[in-house]
Amino acid sequence: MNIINALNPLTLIIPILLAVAFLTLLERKILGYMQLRKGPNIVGPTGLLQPVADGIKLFIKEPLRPSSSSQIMFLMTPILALTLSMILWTPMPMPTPILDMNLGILFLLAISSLMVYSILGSGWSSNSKYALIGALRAVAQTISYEVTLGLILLCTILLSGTFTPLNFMYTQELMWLLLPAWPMATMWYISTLAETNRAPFDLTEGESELVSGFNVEYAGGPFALFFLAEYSNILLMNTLSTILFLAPTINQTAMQLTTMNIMMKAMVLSSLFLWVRASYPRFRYDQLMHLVWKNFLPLVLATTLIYISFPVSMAGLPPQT
Amino acid sequence: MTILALTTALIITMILLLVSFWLPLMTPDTEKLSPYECGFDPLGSARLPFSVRFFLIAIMFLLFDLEIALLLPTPWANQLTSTTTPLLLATTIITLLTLGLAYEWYQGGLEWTE
Amino acid sequence: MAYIIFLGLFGLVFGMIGVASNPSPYYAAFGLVLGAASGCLILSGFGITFLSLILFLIYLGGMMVVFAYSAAMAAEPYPEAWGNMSVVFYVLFYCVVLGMGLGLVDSIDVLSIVGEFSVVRSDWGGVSVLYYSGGWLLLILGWVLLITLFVVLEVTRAVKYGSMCL
Repeated sequence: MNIINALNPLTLIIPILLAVAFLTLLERKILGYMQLRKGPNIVGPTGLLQPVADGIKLFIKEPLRPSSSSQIMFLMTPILALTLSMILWTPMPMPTPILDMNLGILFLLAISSLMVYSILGSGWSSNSKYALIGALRAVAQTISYEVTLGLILLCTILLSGTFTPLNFMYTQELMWLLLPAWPMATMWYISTLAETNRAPFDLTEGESELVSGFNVEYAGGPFALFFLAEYSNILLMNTLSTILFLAPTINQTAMQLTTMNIMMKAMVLSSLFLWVRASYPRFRYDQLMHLVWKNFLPLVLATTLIYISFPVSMAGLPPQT
Repeated sequence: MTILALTTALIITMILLLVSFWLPLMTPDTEKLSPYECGFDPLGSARLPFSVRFFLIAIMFLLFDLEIALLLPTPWANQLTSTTTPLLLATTIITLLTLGLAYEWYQGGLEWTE
Repeated sequence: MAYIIFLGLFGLVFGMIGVASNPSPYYAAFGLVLGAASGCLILSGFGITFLSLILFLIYLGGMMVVFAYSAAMAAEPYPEAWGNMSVVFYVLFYCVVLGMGLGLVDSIDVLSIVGEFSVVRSDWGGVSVLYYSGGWLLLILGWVLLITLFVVLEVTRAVKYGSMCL
C-alpha cells in the first residue's frame, strides 16, 4: 500500500480535531462577550492559544478509573465515541468525500445511531447513580429526536431523489432546499440541537441535579475524548445541515472555493448554536419530550406524506439514480 | 480505502487514550476511586429500578424507526411505472402509524407529569 | 473482499456463541451486536448495500439500543460474564457442536452475487417492489407495528395499575 494513501484519512481527521479545538475557544469567546465579559484572553494573542493549553492540561491530568466500575467498558466507550464521530465525517461531501458512497446518507444515519452506545455504556459502566440517570435521559432524548431526524432526511431525499450526499449539491444548483422545505429546515435545526445535547436541550448534564451527566466519573484523557466527540458532532451536524438545505453549487474549476463556502456556512450555523446557548434557558424534561412526540412527529409524518405525493402529482420527480 | 479510513480513526483515538494514561503522574487512592457522591459514601446500589416511562419511549422509538425503514424505499418506489399503487400504500402505512400515535396520545402514554 | 466476508462469518459464529452461552443480558447484548455487525459486513461484502445498511440501522441502531437500554435499567447485583464457570461450560459446549458441524460440512462454497450492468442496483430495485406487487407484505408489516404498539401500551398499563404493580 502506498504511503500517500495511508496519509489520506489524516488530512481529514487532523483538521477536524483542530476545528473542534478552536470551536471551544469560539464558544467561550462568544458566551463571554454576550455576558459582557472578555472570555479567555491571556494565553497567546487574544487567547488564541487557549485550546492548546486546555488540551495539554487535559492530557497531563490524572485519568481516573473508579474501583467499582466495569474497567474495560469504561475505557472502551470514549474510544467508541471519538472513533464514531470521526467515521461520521468520511462520507461528508466537502465537496469530495473521503469515502464516496452511493448510500452515504443512510450510512450517516446508521453510524450516528451507534453514538447512543457510547453514552449508555459510559453511564452504565461508571457504576454511579448520577452517571446512569444522566445516560438514561441522554439516550431517551437522543433516540426520540432520531425519529424526526430520520423522517426529515427522508423528505429531503424524496426531493433530491438519491441517498448520495453529493447529489444534494446538484439538486440545489437553482435553489436552496431551505426555501421550498423551510418547515423541515427549522425542525431539522432544532432536532440537531437536541440530538447533540446542546442548550437549551442539555438536560443530560443539568448541573444542579446530575452534576455532569453520563461522564461524571471521567477525568483527564478519557473525558477529553468525550468532549472532542461531542464538539465534532456539533460541527458535523451543521455541515450536514449546510449540505441538505444550503448547499453551494460545485465550482468545478476551483474546488477549494466550494469547500470554503460549505465550511463558512457550517461555521455560521455553529455560531448560531452558541448564540442559542447564550440566549435560552434550559427546557424541562417533559417539555422536551412533548416537543418531539406531540409537535414534531405528527407534523413530520404529515409533511412526509406531502413530499412523497407532491413530486408525483406535480410531475416533478427527481432523476433516478 | 474504506477499511483504511475506518482503522485510521480508531488508531488515532487509541493513541490519544494511551497518551493520556502515559503522560500524567498516577497516584490513585481509595477516596479518589470511589464513586462520585457529595461528601458521603454512596448509599444503595447504583443500578436503578426499572422505569416504565423510559421503556415506553424506547419502544415507541423502535416502532417509528421500523416505520422509517419501511418508508426508505419510497424514493425508488416513486419511480415505478404505476404511480397510484405506491402512493396509496405509502398513505396507508403512514396513516396506520399516525393512528397508533394518536391512540397512544389519547391513552396518556406520552404524558410525563402524573 | 473474500477476506472481509471470511472475517464477517467468523464474527457471526463468535457472536452466536456469545449469545447462546447464556451470560447476563448486559454481556449477551455484546454477542448480539457482534453478530449483527458481522451480518451487515457479510451482506455488504456480497454487494447488497441497501439491505445491509437497513439491517445496521434497525438492528444495531434500533433494537439493540432498546435492549441495552432496558438491560441497563434492570438491576442485577452479580452479572455473569464469559469468565464465569457456568458460561464457560456453555461456550465450550457450543464450540464442540460447531466443530462437529464443521466436520460434517467439509467444504463451504460461497455463492457470489454479481449483478449485470444496469441503471438501478438489483437490491435497490428489489426493495421498491415492496410498494407495488409486494404491497400486501407492506400492509401486513404496518399492521404488525400497530398491533405491537397496542400490546406494549396495554402491558405497561398493567405494570402501572394491575397485578404486576411494582
